[in-house]
Amino acid sequence: MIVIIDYGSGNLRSIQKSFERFYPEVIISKDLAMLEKAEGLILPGVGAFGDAVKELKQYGLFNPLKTIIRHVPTMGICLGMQLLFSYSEESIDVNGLDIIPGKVIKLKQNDSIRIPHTGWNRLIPISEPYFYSYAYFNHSYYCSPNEKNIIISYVNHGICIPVIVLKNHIMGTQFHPEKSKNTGDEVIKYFISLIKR
Amino acid sequence: MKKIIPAIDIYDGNAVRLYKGDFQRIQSYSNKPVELLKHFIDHGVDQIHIINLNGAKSGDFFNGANYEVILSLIKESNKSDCKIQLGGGIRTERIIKELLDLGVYKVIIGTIHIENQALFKDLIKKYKDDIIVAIDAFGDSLRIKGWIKDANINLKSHFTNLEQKGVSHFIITDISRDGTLIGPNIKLYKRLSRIKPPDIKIIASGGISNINDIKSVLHYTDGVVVGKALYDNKISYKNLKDLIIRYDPTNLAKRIIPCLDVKDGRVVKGVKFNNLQDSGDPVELSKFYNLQGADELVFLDISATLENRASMIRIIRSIAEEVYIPFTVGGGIKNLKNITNIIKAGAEKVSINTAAVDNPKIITEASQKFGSQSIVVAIDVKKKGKSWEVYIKSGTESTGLDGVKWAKEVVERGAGELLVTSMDKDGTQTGYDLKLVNTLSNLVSVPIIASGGAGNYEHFYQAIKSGAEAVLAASLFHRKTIFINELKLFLLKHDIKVRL
Repeated sequence: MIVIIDYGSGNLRSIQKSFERFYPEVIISKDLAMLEKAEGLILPGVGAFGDAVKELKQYGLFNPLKTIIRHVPTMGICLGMQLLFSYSEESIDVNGLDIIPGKVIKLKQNDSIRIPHTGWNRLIPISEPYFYSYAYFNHSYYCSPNEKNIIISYVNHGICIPVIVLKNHIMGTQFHPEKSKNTGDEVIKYFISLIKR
Repeated sequence: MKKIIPAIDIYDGNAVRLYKGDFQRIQSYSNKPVELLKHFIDHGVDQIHIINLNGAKSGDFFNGANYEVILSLIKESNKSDCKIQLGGGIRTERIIKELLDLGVYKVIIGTIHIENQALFKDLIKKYKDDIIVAIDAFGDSLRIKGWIKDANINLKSHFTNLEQKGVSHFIITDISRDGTLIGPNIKLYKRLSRIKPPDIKIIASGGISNINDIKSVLHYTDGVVVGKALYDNKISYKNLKDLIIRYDPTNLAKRIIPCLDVKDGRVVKGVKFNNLQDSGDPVELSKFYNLQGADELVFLDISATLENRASMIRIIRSIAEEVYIPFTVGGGIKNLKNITNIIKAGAEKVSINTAAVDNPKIITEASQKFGSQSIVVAIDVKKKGKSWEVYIKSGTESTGLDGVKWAKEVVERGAGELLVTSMDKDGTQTGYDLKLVNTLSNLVSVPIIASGGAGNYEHFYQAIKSGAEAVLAASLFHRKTIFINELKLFLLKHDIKVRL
C-alpha cells in the first residue's frame, strides 16, 4: 500500500491516479496508523514552505513522519521534496523535516532567465537511474543538499538546479511527476521499484 | 543562446577524427558511437554534429558500414530530445526527406551547393529551415567532396551569394586547422560576422583546442563544433557542461497555451471541433489539447450566476483528475477563499484580474499563502496615445491605470506571472502587440504570457522573440486554423525551445 499524505495540500487525486497505473493499492490519508502501515509514502505539496509545515504539525504528522520516513520508501514532490530538507529561505522561522540535510534556496533571477521557474524544462541526468526529457515545474525555491552525490538530475535555469535527489529509499522530485507525462511515469515506476525491493 | 556542439564523425562505423580533413591521417576514438552520444547527452549536450565520413568521401550516403550506426544514433537522440545535425554524402532530396522524417533536426549539405545549383535552389526553397550549408574553407578558398577537391571560389563572395539565395544556417570550417588543436580562425569569423544579417546563423568549426578558443569564437558566431579537444580531454566533460549552461542559460521550453472560456459549465466562444461538435465539454477539450501537445491551459470562468461559478470547482476537479495537464483558472476571483478552492480542486495557478485592481492587497496575501508561482495577474490593456490603459470587468471598464506602472506594481506585490492581453489586437489575427510584450518583459522579471492577436505561426515566433515566455491563443486553436504540434515544429526549426 502506498499512502499519499493528505494534509490539506491541493487535489491529490491526480497523483493517486498516476501511481495507480503502476501499483495496485494507492490511498490518500492523514491517518497516522495508515502512514505507519504504508509500504511507500508520497509527500505532496503546493504553496509556501511555512504554511505546509504548519499544516503537517496541525494534523500531528510532523514529528511522526520524521521517524517513519527513515525506514519507509518515500517520495517528496515539489514542495513535498523541499519539506524533506533542513530548512527553507522561504520561511526561516520554521524547520523542515530535516531527513535530507541541506537547505532550500530562492532562485535568483538574472538577465537571461525568469523566476518563478514555470513550465517544461529538460532534465540533465548525471547519475543512475537516468531520467530524460521534459518535466513540468512550477516553483521559485530549490533544494540544495549537503551531500552532492545524492543528486541524480539537474535542470538548467540560470544555474544547475538539483531536481531529483535519491538517498537510499528516499526520493525527491522538484517537478510534478503526475503532470510530466512519460518522464513522470518513469520516475513513478522507479519509485515503485524501491518499494518492491 | 549560443550552441556548443560536440562532433561525432563516423568512419566504417567508428567514431574517428581526421587531421586537416585528410583521410590518410585518421584516428579512431570509439567503436561504440552510441555510447559516446549517451555520454554527451548525460553532460547536458542538446545538439550534436554527426558526419558520415564514408558518405562524404564516396558521395554515397549509404556507403560503408555507417548507415546502421547513424540510424541508432538518431534513435538514441530521439529518446532524449538531443538534436542532431547530420551531414556527409547527403546529395539527393530523397535522403534529406528520409533523414528529416526519422527525426534529424537539420541536414548539412556541402557539395551540391556548388556542383548542382538547380537542385540546390529547389532544396533551399523546400527545406529552408532544415538545411545547414557547410562551407569548408582552406585559407580563402573553398573545398568540397570530403575536403579532397579544391573548388577555386572566393569564400566571402560565396557566402554572400548563398545568403541571398535564402540560406539561413551555415557551418564554416577552416580545414587547414581542423583536427590540429592550433586554435580557430578567429579573423575569418570576425570578417563574416560583419557582413552577415542578424537572422543568419553561423556555426564555427575547426581548430578548437581549449575553453578560451570556444569563448573567443562564440564572440563572433552562433555556435561552435568541438571535436578533437573533447576526445583528447583538452576540454573536460565538466567544462563542457559549464560552458553549455553559460551560453544557453535555460532549457525551459516556451509554452503554447490554448485559452478556454467557460460559461455555465460549457466551453463557449469560437469552438468548432468537428468531432466534438455538440460537446463544448471542458474536460473533453482539455484531453484534446493535451494530446496536441499544449503545455498548459487557461480557463476563464465567465459564468452568469454564482451557482454556476461553484460548479466550476467540479469541472476543475475533473480536469485535474482525468487530464494530466497543468492549468490556470481565472474569472470572477474575488478573495482568498476563491483561490483556496480553485487550488485545492487541482489547478496549478489562478489568474486574477478585476479583483487585483479593486483590492491590490489580494495579490500580496495570495502570493504569501500560495507562493508567487501560483498567482497569475491578468492585465487587459488598450492603447492610449503612447501608453496602454488597464481595463477590467472583461474589458468593459477603463481604470485610468497605466499598464506599465500597473505591471510593475503587481510584480512587486508578488505576482508570479503576467497574462497580458492587448484588447486592440484581440480577435484581429494581425499579430501580438510586440511593443507591449517587449516593454513589459524588459520591465519585470516574471514570465509573461502574450495574448491577443495571433493569426499565424510567425506571430507566435515574434511574440517569443519579443520576450514572451508563453503565447496564448483561443479561436485560432479552437477553429483548428493552427495545430499546436505543427506550430511547435515551426518554432523548433526557428531555434525556439519547445517541448515535443
